[in-house]
Amino acid sequence: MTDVIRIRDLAWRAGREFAIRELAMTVPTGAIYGFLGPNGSGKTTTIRLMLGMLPAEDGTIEVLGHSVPRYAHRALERIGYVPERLHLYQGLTVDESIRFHRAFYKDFDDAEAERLRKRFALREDQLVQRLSKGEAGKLMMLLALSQRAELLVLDEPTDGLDPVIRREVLGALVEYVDSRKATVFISSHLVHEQERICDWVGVMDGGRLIAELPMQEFRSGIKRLRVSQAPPVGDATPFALLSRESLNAQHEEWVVRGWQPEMREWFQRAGADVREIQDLDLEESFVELLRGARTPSTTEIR
Amino acid sequence: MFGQILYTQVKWSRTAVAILSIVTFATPALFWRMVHEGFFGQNSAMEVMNGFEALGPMLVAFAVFAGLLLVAQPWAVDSAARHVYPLALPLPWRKYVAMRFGAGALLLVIPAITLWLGSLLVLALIEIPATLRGYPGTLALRYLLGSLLAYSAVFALQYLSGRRAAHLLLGILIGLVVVALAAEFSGNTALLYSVVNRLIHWPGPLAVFGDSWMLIDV
Amino acid sequence: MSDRSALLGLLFAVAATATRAQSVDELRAELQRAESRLGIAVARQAQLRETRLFGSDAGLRSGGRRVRYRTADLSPRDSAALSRGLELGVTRLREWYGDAGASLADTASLGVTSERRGAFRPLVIFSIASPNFTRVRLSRPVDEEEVARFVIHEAGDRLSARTPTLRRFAGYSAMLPGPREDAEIARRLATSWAAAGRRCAAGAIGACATVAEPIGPDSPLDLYFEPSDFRAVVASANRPAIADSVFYASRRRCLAGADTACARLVRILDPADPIGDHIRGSILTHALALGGRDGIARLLAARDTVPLAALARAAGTSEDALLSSWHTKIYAAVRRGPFDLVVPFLTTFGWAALLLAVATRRRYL
Repeated sequence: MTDVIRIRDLAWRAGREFAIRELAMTVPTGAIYGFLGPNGSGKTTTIRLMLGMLPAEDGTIEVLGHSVPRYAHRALERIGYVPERLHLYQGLTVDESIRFHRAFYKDFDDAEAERLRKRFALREDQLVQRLSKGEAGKLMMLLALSQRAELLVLDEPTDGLDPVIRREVLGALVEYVDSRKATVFISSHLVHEQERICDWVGVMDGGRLIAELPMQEFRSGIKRLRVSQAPPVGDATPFALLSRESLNAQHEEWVVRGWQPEMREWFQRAGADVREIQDLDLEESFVELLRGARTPSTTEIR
Repeated sequence: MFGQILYTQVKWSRTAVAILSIVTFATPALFWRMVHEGFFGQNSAMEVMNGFEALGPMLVAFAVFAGLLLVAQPWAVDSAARHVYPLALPLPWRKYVAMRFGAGALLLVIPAITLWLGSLLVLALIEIPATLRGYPGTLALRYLLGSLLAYSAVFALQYLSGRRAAHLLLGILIGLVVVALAAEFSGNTALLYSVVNRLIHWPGPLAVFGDSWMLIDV
Repeated sequence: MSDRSALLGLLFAVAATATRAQSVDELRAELQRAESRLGIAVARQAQLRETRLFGSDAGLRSGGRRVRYRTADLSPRDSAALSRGLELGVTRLREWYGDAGASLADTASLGVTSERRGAFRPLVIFSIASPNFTRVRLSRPVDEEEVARFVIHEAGDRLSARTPTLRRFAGYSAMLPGPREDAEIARRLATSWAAAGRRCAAGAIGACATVAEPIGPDSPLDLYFEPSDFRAVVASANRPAIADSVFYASRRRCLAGADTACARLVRILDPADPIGDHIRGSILTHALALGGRDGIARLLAARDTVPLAALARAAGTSEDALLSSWHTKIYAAVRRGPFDLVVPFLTTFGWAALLLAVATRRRYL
């Protein structure tokens, strides 16, 4: 099995309008897949569809070789899930929560759970409802990691956490991935955080996956160009044009994706000149990708 | 798995179960007190029977209440997080619901047992007239069955998704209104009585509530 | 006004108007004439009632039976069902009690009206001529079985009316109580505030024979009651013909716990019947059931004997055997066995399983 998650033509709607449309996604085995998108883009909904918590209107979902939602429970045996909001039973203590969770996963590692509990400084007798947001986040991560899951699905796991806790949580995650060679699917709108750990990126906007590419390409392949004598853009253009803006009578500013140095020649052949090439940081790249997807006149990106 | 689900059920419902158990234990004794201060003195058979007559309807109400209570708390806990946790667990939904149901149903036994014990105690203290007998076991079993039925009905309504439950309730309501209107306009009261009779006599669902819930009887 | 009171009134009137001392035979003759006039008056009263209720609407005839109703109250379908119900009732009476039983209903004069009150406008069927004016509510559409049951019930009233000893014995109780009534009768007997009733409930057939005889003004109270019952007797008795101040003071003391006051008071009281017509009515029904097709005929032939003896004759058995089998029957209705709860158990679990199946349907967020 080369892909842990495979989604094709997924569609879902809550009301009359489709909230998720024609979504196709592939998460390779062993990848740390960053699922990016602005608030309300459909990330959490996609995750819930992936785990069988919502019924799709159309399309197919396959997770760890099991068709979802029909055999979601079989896939979930091997998935560690950390949702966006605390989902644990508030009336239980930390220790009771661990014991409850353990009962459902035959590979649950008690020693690892105890080690993480101490590392995260969670008291056994603390009631879940009395945990701070950070402590609750740590507990959920503890449970997911102690399962020894092949796939971790994390929905905004560090959202709202202070930098110290965020570092603790991500640190534990990275250790886990290094030791277990697990696949991680992590959804977030914190682009810089994703940059540090992910090797694949999927960008969601308006219920669609607008980009899916290796992190390296995401990081280095989106550039801002200052172009003089800007040529027309057609099907033969070797890169994807995300946006173009006129600076003055002679110069335009282009944001392109998939840039390679040898593409200068295309401009030269077209009688144009690339005056300047600017690297964009991940956040700027993300914003330009979104802008490109939302502007109808730009070239199709995927 | 079931052990942990039962553990959580006990944790959430223990106060309710404790209160119910105390109440069902004490209720026969309360009625004994009324009989003990009987008008005709010395526990005449009629007074003993009449004194305990209202115990049955009261226990019916307790049984229904017990069923309701044992669904409410776990439901509220799961519902607060929109059932994300149970849906994320690696077991089919029907298996989870069945275990949740079983855990609650098991706890219904406790107030039934305390009712039985309370009844035994009262029967030991009271001088039962020679023409009457005590039925503590039968009463406790009826209570258990009544509370199980109430529990099952409320459980089904709660665990159906909101839309389905609303449709079901609406369907029942519409059905009742249609039957009542049909009876009114056609004058065919037999239809209404027939529906009611089927519900309250075996094997109808409400038959357990229509039976004799007497602690002391002939 | 009951016919008994009317008769007594007439009797006093006759006595009051006597201008000279009359012989017993003359008084008897006067009584017979008064009875005849009373009968005419009662019949006339029934006629007037009939006219007031039904006007000139004809109703229907079924054999010797006449059923009056207003055409507007009964649809053709309902009147056909009514007719069939009458036939069915008479057929059953003939099956169980022979011609004597059927004849009780053969000349019934019944009325059917629609009750205006309530949302469902049920019908009411009643015996026009019955002194007790027995009425039963019928549902719509008219159910033949309900009509048949009424016919049998009303036949029981007629049977009691024809035999004065039975009227005193069982009043106008229903002729055919079912198992639910048996259970209720068993309970009433077991909780009777007369010791004799309770002994009967415990299986003492001699005590059942005692309570089968209604308490009369000359009945020895200690046959029915024990000293521990006196307070209940005082509480439920009719007020005797003594000064209010004496009675109420004694009654208050008795009910407050003074046993001697109770013991004194019961000697002068007319105690209420501790058993009730309903229970004796069930003995009557049981006797007729045992008697089969000749039961009623034998009962009617034994009019002047003591009630229990008459019932035993109707049943074709001894008094003890009658009471013993009656006792067994009513207590069979409340007998509880270890398997009584098996059906409720299984049925409740069945419904619970069904509801659980409904609850386990796939759920999503």
